[in-house]
Amino acid sequence: MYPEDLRYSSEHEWVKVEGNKARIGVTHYAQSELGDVVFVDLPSVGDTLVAGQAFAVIESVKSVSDVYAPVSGTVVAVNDRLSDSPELINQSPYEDGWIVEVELSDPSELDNLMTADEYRASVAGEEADGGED
Amino acid sequence: MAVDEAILREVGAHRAPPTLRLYSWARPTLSLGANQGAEVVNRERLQALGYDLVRRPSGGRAVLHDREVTYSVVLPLDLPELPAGVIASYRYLSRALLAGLTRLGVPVDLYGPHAPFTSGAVRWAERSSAEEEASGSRRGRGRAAGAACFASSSWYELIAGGRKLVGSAQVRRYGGLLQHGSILLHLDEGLFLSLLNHEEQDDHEEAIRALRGHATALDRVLGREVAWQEVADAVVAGFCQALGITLEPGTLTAREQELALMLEGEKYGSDSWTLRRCEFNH
Repeated sequence: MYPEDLRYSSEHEWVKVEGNKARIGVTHYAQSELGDVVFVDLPSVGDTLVAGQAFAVIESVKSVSDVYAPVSGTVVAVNDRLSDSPELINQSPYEDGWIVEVELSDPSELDNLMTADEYRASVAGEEADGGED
Repeated sequence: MAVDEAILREVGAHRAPPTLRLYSWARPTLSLGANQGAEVVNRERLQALGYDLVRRPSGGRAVLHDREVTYSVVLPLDLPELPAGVIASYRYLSRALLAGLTRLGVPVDLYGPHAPFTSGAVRWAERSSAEEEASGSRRGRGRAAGAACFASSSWYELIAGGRKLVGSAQVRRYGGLLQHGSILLHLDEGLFLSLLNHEEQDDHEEAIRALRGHATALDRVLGREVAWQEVADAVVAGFCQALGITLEPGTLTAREQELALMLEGEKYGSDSWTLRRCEFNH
C-alpha cells in the first residue's frame, strides 16, 4: 500500500523523484479517507508549488479538500486524465492517479519527507485513533 | 457562506473555539456545490422570484435554502475527538443531528451500510449515488433531479421513512473542517425543481415524483408545522447529548465579522466565484 521507492508527507501526499523532477499524488490512505473522488481541480503547467501550500483541490462524495505541496517547484506536467476520470485517484493512487510533475526548486526539501516505513507507522496511529466510534 | 468560511478560517487557526452555528436566510437562496456547473440553474426563474444564488465552499449539489434550519459545524482538524476521514467524520456529526431530531420525535435513521431500508427508492439511491454525485458535481448536466442534493443520500446522512431529511456537505481547509447542511422544515419539490434547468425530454411531473420518493421534510414526517426555534433547540441539545460536550451561546468574534465582510465582498458576493463553473461561459 505504500511503495518503498516513494517519499511521503504528513499531509498524505507521495513524491516520486526522478532526477530533478518529482511526480506527486495522494496516498492510498488519503484516498480511502476521502471516499469516492468525483472532481479534481488541477494546477496548470508553469504554476509554482510552494511546500506546505495547497496546489490542487479534490472533491470526494460530499467533501472538498485541499492537496498540499510536499515540495516546492514548477509544474511541468499535470495528469489531464483526472479531469474526466477523477476516480483514478481511488483506483490507482500511485500510478494512473498521479496529480502533477514538478521541477524541484529545492531538492533539500525531500529530506523533510518520510520513508515508506515512517509513513506506514504514522498512519497506523491515525487509523487506530479514527477507528474507534 | 461568507460567515461559515470566516468561522472555518478562525477555528482552523485555533483563534476561535469549535462552533455550531444555526441560521436561516434573509431571502430564499439556491446554493451550488463548490464544483457544480452553474448551467443547472434556471437564472431567469430565480430572478423572477427574487431568490439569490450562491456557491458553497463545500461539495455536493444544489440546495434551495428556504424553509429549513441551516446548521454549520466547524472543528479544528486536530481535534482529538474528531475521527479521521470524511465518512467517519460524517458519522460522528450525524450522531449529534440524529440525537437532536430524535428529541423532536422524528423516526430518523442514519443512511448507510447497516441502515434499515424502508423503501425501494433508497436502495436505488445507494446503487447510484456515487455515479450521480459524479455527474451532478462535475458536469452539472443531465436531469434536473440529478443536480439536486436531496435526490440521493450518502452514507451517514439522516433519513426518515427511507427519505433524506438532512442534506450535508463538507470542506476541509485552513486546518479546519466545515460541515454544513439543511434540515428541511418543508419541501416544495415543484418550486425547487423549477429553479433548475431541465433537458427537453425530462418530464417535470415525473421529476417531482422522483424527488418526492427520495426526500422529505419535518412537517411531512411529523404531520405538523415545526417552528425553526423548536428544531434549533433540539439540535443544540442533541449535540450536547450525543457528543458529551457543552455549548455556550456566542457571537462572531471581531475577526470573524471582518473576515466575513471581506469574503462576501471579494468571493461569495461576486459572479467570478458564483459562476466560476458554467459550461455556457466557455
